[in-house]
Amino acid sequence: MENIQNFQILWFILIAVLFLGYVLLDGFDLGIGVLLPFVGKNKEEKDILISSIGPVWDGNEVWLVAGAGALFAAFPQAYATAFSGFYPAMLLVLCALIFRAVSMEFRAHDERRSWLWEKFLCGGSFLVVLLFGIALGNVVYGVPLDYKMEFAGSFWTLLRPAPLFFGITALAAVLLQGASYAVLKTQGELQQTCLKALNILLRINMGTAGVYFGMMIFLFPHLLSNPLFYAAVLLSIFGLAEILFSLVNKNETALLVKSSLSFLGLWLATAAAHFPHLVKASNASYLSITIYNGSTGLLTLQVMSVIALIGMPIVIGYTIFVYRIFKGKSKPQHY
Amino acid sequence: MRKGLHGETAKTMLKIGVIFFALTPLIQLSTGHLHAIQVIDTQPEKAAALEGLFETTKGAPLYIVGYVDEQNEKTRGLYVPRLLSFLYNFDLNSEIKGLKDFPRETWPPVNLVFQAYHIMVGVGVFAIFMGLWGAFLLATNRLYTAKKYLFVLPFLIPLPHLAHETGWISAEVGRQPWIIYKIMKTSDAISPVVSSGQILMSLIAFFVIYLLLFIMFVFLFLKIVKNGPES
Repeated sequence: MENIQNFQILWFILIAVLFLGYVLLDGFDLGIGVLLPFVGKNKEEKDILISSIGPVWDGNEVWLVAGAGALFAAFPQAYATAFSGFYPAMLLVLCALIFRAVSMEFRAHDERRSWLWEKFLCGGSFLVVLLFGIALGNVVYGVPLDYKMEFAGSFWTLLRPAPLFFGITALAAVLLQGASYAVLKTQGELQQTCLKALNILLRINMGTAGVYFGMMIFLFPHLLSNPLFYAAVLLSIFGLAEILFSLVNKNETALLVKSSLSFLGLWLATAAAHFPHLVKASNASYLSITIYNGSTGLLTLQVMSVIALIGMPIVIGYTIFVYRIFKGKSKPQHY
Repeated sequence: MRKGLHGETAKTMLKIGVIFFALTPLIQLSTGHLHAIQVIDTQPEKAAALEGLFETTKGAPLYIVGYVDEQNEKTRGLYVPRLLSFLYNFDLNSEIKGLKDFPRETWPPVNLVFQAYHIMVGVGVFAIFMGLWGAFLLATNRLYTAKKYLFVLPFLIPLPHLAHETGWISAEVGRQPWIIYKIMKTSDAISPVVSSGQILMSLIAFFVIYLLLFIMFVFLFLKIVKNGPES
């Protein structure tokens, strides 16, 4: 029994890491998607911004597929409840992801309607981030569940104020990721615009992160006795402060790392509040799906651990490889 | 090519295309053959539905075209006697299980499975014929001037998709009512909280999205084809 609990805890951590990889990596390309019409003033600037994410965005989305796949394999109960229960919302996310992906390709080939594809890229990216944030907010804040672990709410249940604020915090953090990446990949006038955007987004993130941590303490008072939570808050403060110093000293090195650290803080605080739950029940706590009552069998978890041990280094390896190839400033060419 | 556009590039591409067109349907034929044997061994109900075979038969026929009368449990059409048994293990008299050996509630919709499967096989046989014809023209140095053959070729582009889709339908409808063979029924696997209205909505959404993307694809594809390769 103790054996399977170790594996269940391991897989909670691994899935958290996979989704963290997703929000950090796809975070910056989604962020650029939303920022595109605001920082790209002409076709050339937009070309530069899109070609900065062109070679990497689809690789970044593999982390989402891996995370959802791992969730399905390790905790099928939670996967079934969330994906069936949030069906209309998930469908909306999927449509947004599809339109976002094709709009980058079509924009390059269909110049007469490039304005339309840019709108799809921006709107699709915006919806994906907001809805994923709201979805995470709902499983952490809690949704009504019945005794069969099925979702007992409606689409409108998902849009309560607290989960909505998760979505807004996610959006702010993702935009900060996007702006940091844009500053790294651009130069000259465009970079100046990106720096201005980064400056504004930094202020917004100081606000949203502050309110977010406050809300978490209010919703989950047990966090106050959890050292991980304090570490998370410090990480976020450190990351945001470092970006502020960078802006003051006009130093663009490791901006993305600093932005990622502040995001990591938000993520850690959420994980600390949520463990060991997968989908929290808002109506009665004993109905919640946890890593203990929602997991698959011991053998499956063991087999998955072996696969992860082989697969993760390969994924991390090729991710680093791709970013090394495409490092440096972006040019306005179609990849 | 017919209009003499982009001469050399087109010739090379056509040559490669025809060689593959001659070979791949033959490879498909052998994998398809092995797969059919596997289906007869492991999912006899599906195999029986594919050929509309109701009675367990020694020396079962293979239908070229036909129609399954599900009410009277009869299959009518043009067939080759004993060929199915022969293809199974090269024995004209081997026994193939019929649908009546299995409880009626575990039968798939027979006619749909039969028709889909026969369209797939028909397309495959036609592709083998067209591929070999192309190879023959290439071998006798008449390919680049064979006006009729070159005119027909572009119209064959949708055929592999038709074969994919009908093959998919016969495989997936053929395994009904099971979603996991002999373990779980499809009717037990649905999500109770997702309403049929939501499913319909998502199907319509996917249909509209894919239709839009397909129109966009055809539009850009034609634009690229018109511009031709860089010489």
